[in-house]
Amino acid sequence: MKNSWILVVLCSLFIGFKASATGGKDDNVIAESEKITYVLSEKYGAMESVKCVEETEYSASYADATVEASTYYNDFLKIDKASAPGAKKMYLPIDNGDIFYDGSRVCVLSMPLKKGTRGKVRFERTYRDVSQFCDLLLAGKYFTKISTVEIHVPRTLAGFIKVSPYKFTDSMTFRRVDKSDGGAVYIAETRDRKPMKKEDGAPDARMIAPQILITGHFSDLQNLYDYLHPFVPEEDEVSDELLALAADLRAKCADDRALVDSTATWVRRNIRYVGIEHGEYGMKPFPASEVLASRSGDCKGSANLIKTLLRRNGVDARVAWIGTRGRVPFTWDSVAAICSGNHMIAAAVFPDTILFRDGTTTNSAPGFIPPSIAGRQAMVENGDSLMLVTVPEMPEGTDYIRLFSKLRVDGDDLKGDVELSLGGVYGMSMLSLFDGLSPRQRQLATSRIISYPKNNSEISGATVTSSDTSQLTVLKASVSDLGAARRIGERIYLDLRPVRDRMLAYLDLTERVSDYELPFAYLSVFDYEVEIPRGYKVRGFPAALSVDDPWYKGCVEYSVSPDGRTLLCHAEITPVATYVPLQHLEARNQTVRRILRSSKLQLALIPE
Amino acid sequence: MKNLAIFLLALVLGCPLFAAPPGLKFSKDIAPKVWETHAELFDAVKEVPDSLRSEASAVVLMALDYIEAKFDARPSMEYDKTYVRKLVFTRRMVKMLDQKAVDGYSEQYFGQFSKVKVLGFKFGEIKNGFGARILKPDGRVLDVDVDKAFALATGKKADAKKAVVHKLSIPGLEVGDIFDYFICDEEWMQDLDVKPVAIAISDTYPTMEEHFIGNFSPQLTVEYGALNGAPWLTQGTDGSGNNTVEATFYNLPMLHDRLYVNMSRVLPFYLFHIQNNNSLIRDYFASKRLEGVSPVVSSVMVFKDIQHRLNAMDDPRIKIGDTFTPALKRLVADFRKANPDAGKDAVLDATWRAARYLQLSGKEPLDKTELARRTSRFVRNQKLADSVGVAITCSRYMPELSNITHFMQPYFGLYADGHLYFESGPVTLPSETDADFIGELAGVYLMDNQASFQMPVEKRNSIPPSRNNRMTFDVRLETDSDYMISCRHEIVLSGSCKDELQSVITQLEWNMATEDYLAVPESRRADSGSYDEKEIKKKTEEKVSEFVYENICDEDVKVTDVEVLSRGLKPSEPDMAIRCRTRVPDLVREAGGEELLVPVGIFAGARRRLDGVERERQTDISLSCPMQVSYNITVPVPEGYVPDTSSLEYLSSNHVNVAGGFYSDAVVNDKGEVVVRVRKRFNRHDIPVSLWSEFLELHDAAASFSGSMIIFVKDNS
Repeated sequence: MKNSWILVVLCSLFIGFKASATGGKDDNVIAESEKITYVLSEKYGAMESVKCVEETEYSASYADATVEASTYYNDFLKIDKASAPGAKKMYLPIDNGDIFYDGSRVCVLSMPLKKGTRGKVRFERTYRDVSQFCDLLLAGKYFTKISTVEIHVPRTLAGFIKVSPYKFTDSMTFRRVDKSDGGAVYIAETRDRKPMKKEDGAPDARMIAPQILITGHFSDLQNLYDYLHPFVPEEDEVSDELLALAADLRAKCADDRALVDSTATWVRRNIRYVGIEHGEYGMKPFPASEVLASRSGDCKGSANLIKTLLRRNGVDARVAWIGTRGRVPFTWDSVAAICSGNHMIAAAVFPDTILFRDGTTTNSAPGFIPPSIAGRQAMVENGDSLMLVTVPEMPEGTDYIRLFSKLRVDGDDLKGDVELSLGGVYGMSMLSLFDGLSPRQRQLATSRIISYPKNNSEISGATVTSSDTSQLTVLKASVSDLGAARRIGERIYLDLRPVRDRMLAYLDLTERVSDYELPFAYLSVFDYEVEIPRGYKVRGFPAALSVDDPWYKGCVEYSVSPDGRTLLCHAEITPVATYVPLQHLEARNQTVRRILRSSKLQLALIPE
Repeated sequence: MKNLAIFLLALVLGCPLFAAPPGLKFSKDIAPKVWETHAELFDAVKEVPDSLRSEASAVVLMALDYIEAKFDARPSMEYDKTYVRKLVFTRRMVKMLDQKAVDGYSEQYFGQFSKVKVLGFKFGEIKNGFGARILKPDGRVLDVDVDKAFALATGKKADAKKAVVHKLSIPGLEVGDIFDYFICDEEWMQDLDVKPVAIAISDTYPTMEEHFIGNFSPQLTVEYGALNGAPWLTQGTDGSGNNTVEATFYNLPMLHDRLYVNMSRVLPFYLFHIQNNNSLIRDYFASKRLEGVSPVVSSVMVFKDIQHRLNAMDDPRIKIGDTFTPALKRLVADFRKANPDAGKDAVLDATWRAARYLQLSGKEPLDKTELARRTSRFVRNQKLADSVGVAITCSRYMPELSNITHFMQPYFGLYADGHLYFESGPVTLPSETDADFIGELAGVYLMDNQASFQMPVEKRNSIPPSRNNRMTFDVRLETDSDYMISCRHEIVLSGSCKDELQSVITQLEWNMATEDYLAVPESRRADSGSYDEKEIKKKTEEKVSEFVYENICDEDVKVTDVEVLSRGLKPSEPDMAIRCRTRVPDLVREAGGEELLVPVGIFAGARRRLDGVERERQTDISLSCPMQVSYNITVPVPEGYVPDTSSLEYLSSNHVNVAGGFYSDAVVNDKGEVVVRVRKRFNRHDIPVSLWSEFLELHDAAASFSGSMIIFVKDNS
């Protein structure tokens, strides 16, 4: 979907450039004022085009500087004019990592400013495809004292074009001014807007940044569907290669539901993800036969290939438009606009259920629904009408880490075997990680994953196995945790560090401005058995930790086996809330500290 | 003379300019020639041995590196023009063993195009092409259509004619396929020399067979260097009288080493310089070589070229107004006025710094040769030294001086009475050695009585390291009742170790420090209007945070209160000194309810133990410089506790070998605080692979120490 990359580009322009910004009104360069005016025009009773004029006055207060102002454009949004006094102007292609090619471009104005002076940058652009004019991200690269966005709606459109604020903060205002000619002007003002910055665990900019929504271009969801559906190609004629593949897949599966999974698995493993989304290909899937022949495609291409293969085999397969978790804040029924979707998946419709399959998650096991689409509302094609269906969630506990380690004290080291089971999205991510590594790098990665968080371990005999039928990856190895059993005098100090959860991280809250979001909920379970050396016993067991608060639930417990020869440790952690607002992060940090502190306790073994 | 002037200007100003591209035409036009050239090499498809399948993501079954240069002369109305057309391509047949390889080869960028212009006149053109086909296991051959490439273009509109590069997603490539592709560069140049060519005898993946073949017109002078163990080429002539070179290699391994590697000194490669010595509009050095192919077995001829170039620059026919010398004279006078007691060495140091200041501040934008030449002339004319000349050397990240193949390769500098001054990084004082030059040979072109530069008879053994390459970290730990550790750090970097934090220095700061050092009057100082103290402070904090993470503690630390006490930019403050604070949560641990454990080891530059394949080594070990790193970690005793003396004894270690040393101990000072002392020393910046086990011993000792703790037990007295 075209809109997704527009926002990706926007975010990279606004956020990426200013990684080192202090982000305050005391910055040398600030935007004194920003005024962005959108003027909508009408033809035959519909929105025809949108003219955008963006004027920003910058100042440099205590040092000479160069203002780097930029704006993006593409096949649907043309740039008319860009000017700034004394500025060097550059028009460049955007070559972004996620999308192979989409024709997006950027105009950069490098405007020199002497200290104590001001300079004004002006961009003029025109939306040629007004369907893309549906949400405006209110963010900037520089601290902005006052930002005014005006949207001028003519009388002929004012009756149905709706403009509304989304996630506005206390420092923002929004109002509608009715004009005497029947038109309307919507005005959004922001004072003292800080530049956005990347922070650990922060939600995607689109999920948290204030936006202005423009709806009404599509009268309702059906109208939006009527716009999108014609982009899906009719696959009346397909290549011999596709027919042969369909026949092969059918021959190996008698059951239609199994066929859905084997088809999706084939596409995921054989169609390399390549996003080519220029022009109409922002909306339109490449024909299935082309995707198959090239062994590559984007989400639309893969979804369409799954659909076509299944339909050739008599399964009622369709495509579905969807907004992914953590990237799209809206649902189709709440906002009937292009901005409610950024992805396409396949849907196999059976009398009693619909099976949703994502063609881009290369290492998904059959039946596994990744968190990015689970629980999200999908708009499923249904002939001339549409179906709104929520993609089912996976059962609780699908995504997990389980570690079991059996160890013994050997000199100053802890030695033994470890088994790490990764379920659900953990298992899928592990396989995807391995796809990007050479055989030798895979050995090293396996070793690092098993020994985390220790940095002084030796791993040998590591094996990785994954199941073809369930989303489970298992890593096994022999481990020598060097120096983890320090003998000091007659005592032995065991440094077990049982909680080995990379997501359980303490957040630096200094100057933090963003909420925190975990990409998915999960369960982590760690079990250890440590053989106590003959003639030793554990001195003073630490108190068990039990956590049950709005952020995490879990425990860290130590005990001894009935025969007194084995130290047992069990730890179990699961996040309760995956989204933590900024004001609660300190409390969350305290919980994380309690868990990590408990994990860092050392056990003293003393002579019996 | 005009011709010489044009040539020299061409060297200085000649730069590629983007212009209307040939689009994809070149790729398609050149493809038949590439596919036909020595096609017989690619007829048989090799089987990949199992040993390689488990090693790499892909295997290069056959590779051909080909270089061809043709000479042409054509009469014109102005003068008889000469041309060189150079074609360089690599064709590789690669077996895809896994998805990583498929992903890596599936995105191709090609089609760059540029023109070479001198004074607005076009003198040459450079273009790049690509072609590929996929050999399927079932015998099908799929030709890759380059017309499917996307143009990434500059300009307001996405005009393919303004493409700077084309981008192609290879369709249909899968694991198990053989990807047969070529990358080709063609360059033609009128009267000037084409760009040098480097051909590496290695690949990202293991190579079963590789051929290198060259073919050159007899009118061309071709010189090549065989570097880092690359064998000399077999020379001959073909039926048309062209000169040929060739070599064949079998079973070339891939390089696995990732840490402490200096690629430019371990990868075998050839470096070709193809010279057009027949132009009528150029004046040539007296050392101009005859036509034909010559291996550069000694750099003597190149040294001669440099000598001729240095002396040619005094040619009155091209002499232009010299504003540099008077400006330098003024700066040196400023320094002397402010430092009337400065000795000869101090004045020489100041002179080189002043010359670099004129160059880097943009006041006198001289090229490297001219800066060295004019400065040495100045030093001689001002009688600042008795023995004066231009010095040359090479960086450790390029061929050694004894292997240079062209007169523009080395770094240039000043030689004066035993002192060597080169173009260094900002934090290297004239009296110090830039880490890049440590151990490199240096040559000196002394001036004779007539001030002519002589051949570099004085070839010094090697450039010594700075005398004081040290990093010292004084860390004072303070624990609180909430298990937080708060640290105060004093960091002092000396000699080449300052390079580790040189990124905190901006050009403007260097200019300002130099002006202070030279005592330049306010009226003549460079514009400092863009000095943004707040931004510099912010950036310094970021860089220091990264440095602390890399060199002191890689736990989740928060660095605050960064204070730069000295930036190490002036002889009066030669060291870089920084003070900062860090805060690390939950490091203090309890054990058995009776003891507190303080993990001091992590404050001594925690090092991850090298693991698995990382413990195997193919190449020499390259460090930035020989150095000593000292950590002095002071830990006050928590109230109600006393240090467990046996835990202090446990912190003692001592590893000494030919690669260096690792030493640690812990003592109680007169205030009753525990002081942990750690010393790491590396004797050399380049450690031969034969000493890998010794280096690993030191690395392991550091990794092991990172888990060290001090134990405090309850004071029951």
